[in-house]
Amino acid sequence: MNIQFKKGVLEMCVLLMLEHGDRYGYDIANELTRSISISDGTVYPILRRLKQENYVSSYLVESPGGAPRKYYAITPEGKKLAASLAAEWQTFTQQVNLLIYRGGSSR
Amino acid sequence: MNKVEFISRLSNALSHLPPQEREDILNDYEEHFRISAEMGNTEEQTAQGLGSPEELGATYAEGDALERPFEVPQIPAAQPDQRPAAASFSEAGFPFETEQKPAKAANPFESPNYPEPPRAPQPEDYGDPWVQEGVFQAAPEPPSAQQVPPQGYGYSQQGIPPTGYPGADHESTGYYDSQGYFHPDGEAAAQPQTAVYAPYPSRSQGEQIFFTVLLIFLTVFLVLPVGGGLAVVLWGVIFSVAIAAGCVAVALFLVHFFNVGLALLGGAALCLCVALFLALISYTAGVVKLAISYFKMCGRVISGQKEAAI
Repeated sequence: MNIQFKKGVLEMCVLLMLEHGDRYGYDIANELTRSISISDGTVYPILRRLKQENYVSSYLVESPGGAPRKYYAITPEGKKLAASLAAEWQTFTQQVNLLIYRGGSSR
Repeated sequence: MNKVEFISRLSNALSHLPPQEREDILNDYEEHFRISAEMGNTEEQTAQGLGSPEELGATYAEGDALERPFEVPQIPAAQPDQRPAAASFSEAGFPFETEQKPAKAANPFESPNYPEPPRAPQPEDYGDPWVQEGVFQAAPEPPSAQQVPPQGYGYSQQGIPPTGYPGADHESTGYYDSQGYFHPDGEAAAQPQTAVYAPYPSRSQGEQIFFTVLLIFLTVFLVLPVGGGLAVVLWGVIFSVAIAAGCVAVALFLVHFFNVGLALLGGAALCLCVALFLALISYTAGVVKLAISYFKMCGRVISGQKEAAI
């Protein structure tokens, strides 16, 4: 799949995943790369930037193995962003689909 | 590539960042390696999955300038209708086409498929009396006929239908679907379904319980006693067919195929009546005889006579 499509959508996917529950970085990377074929590493810059812009917060959880794990949680602003990104995505894909299936020009 | 090599290469790629930030970022990847090892992966596998450290480092270098996937639409809070003064028409001719244009929300009226509404009267149509100082805002220079209509509602100033919108060069008839999109006749059926449909509409708990109870009722109080007695005879066959049809009808109701279910139920009721009628005819004589001898026996027992052969 075109890399440009994927990159544009990653932020939205990460937010939507976090809406369903808090997760740690490896978990998010793992699940994302299972559904979209990207490299695991691309998730971390996104998480970092979302955190800087306060769409996502993080906290450390001690794990029995000794090393703490960083969990990410979505914030209310993040939920709003997720909703608006999803709506924009819907409109966008509908318009593109019309282009593909009707072969006409869209305004 | 092992973990140490990956981390050191990534660190080099992040050398432009302040040390605290760099360490923060590297910690994320250290944790990734750690958890991946817990899951049983080797460092090489993990490093390969992460991708090129130089490319990742470059992603961080973009900093805040990382491209947003889409412009975050500013969905405005609900505002009272801001209508301009009645006489001020914008170039587009529609009173709502002002600065307060809402953002790019999913608006079916802005879809490319929405055919143009009929041309509204323009100030030019009415001539001079409509141009009054202080009351009417004179429309700016009208666009030429070749100009592509602006987004939303396009009006040409000469009464010529605007060009450039779908269907401009031919009559388009069709229908509007539930989302407000226009489908011309003869459109290929290959439209993707954006809505999610459940296989069957779900029933409420109460309805399901009701139908379950009805089914049990039919089985226990109708089938068992009567069917058992009639099963050996012809009308027993008809009767059991009726019961079966009734049960199938109930099942169809449960999945919302009302029409077929009703038809089956009607057929089942008919069979039921026929079977019961036949049973009644044949058994009536025998039942009456049986009842008479039973009562005779009771009479003898009461009056103390020895039981006579029935």
